Amino acid sequence: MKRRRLILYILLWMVALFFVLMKGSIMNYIGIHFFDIDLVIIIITYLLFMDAETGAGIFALSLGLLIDVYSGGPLGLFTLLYLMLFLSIHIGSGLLDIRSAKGQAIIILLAVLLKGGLLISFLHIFSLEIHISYSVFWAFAGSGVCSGLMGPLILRVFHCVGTLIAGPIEGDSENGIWI
Amino acid sequence: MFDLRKFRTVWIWIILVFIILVLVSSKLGGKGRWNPAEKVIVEITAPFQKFIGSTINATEVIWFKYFALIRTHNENALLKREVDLLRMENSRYQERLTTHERLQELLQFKETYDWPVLAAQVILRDPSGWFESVIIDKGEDSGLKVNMPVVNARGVVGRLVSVSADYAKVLLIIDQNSAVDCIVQRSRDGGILKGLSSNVCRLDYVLETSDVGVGDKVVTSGLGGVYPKGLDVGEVLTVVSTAGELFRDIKVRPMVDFSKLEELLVILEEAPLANQ
Repeated sequence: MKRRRLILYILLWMVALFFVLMKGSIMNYIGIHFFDIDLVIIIITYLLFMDAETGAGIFALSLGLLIDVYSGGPLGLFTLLYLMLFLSIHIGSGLLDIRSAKGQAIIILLAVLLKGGLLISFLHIFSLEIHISYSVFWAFAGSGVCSGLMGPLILRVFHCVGTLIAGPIEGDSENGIWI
Repeated sequence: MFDLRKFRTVWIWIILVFIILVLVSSKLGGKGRWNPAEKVIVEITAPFQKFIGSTINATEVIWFKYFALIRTHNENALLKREVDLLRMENSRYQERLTTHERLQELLQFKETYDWPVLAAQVILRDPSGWFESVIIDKGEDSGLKVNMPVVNARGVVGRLVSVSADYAKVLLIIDQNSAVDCIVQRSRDGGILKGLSSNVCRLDYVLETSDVGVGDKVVTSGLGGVYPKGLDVGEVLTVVSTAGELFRDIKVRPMVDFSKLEELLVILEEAPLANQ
């Protein structure tokens, strides 16, 4: 069972890796830089939904580091950001029902909005001059809403694949998930 | 022994031959018209003949057309495949042609300037969306070092900020953390070009008393220790003077189209270039 879970983690990591590496080129192709449907946040939510706190933490740390390596920003910025997001989602999953689609949508929406807010704060704290226009906040709102709406669907797909690979998650039936 | 059966058969054949001879001889010298008996026979049998003939014809037509359709269908599928292949080939040739044109431009740049350069390919873009950098497919093993300037045929692209054995990260001049010491080519007024993470940069510290106009070309000054002197950077887009301000607000449009970066040239010289 543990081995199967490990396979699932590796698969999720590969999906996230592919997403992160392709994201820059896709965003450049589309031409919208701040519109950000963040699959990493969705995967962190999924791992927390699977009760894999450690796995989610390691995932957030490694993906943050990976983005740091490839981005032009200071090293550690995105690692810190994703760790903060992991903590926030973890706290949020205690307050909201992460097993319901509604709870998932709200958690992902708030996480994406928080990501934007934290990023702007960090950039100011680290004295990085970033020119931010009002359209960026609209992009954050749009990204949050889109991620929130798409999140439960993507989680559903992950859940199906995860069940196929690692078997059913404990408490699936009694808690009546995906309502 | 006399065989009655054989005798009868012989007579039947003789009678039949006789009838035939009578019929043939009756037609000789005639105009080929049917006699009444023949007409009756023809009238009775012709419809059957016609029916059989038309049936055969119809069958033949259906049969051959069906097979012809199958053949046409197969031929159509084959031709479609061929068209697809040719389209793909055409697209490949077009791509090669545009790559050739881009490389030709880079080669011209290489011939114009006398610096040792190394061509590299952009393989990744910044995944965060907040910073402007690209990853290229050449690294330390190819002689690259941090702070080496990166250009393309149109002008300055950026500088190397991180280098691994086979890859390097280029901070583009449009990134908000980038600063390039520049001069306005016509008036020789100096300033610092800063990125705004968009297709427009800002030229800071240009004095109010300077003579800078829209359309003026901005080139590298050679100061700052990274970029050699005289490389094209951009073109002045707007110049705004505010009363009481010491410096002008100048926006510059970079020469390079940063959304279409593919092949780049890394100038394989370090800081000394700045004083050339």
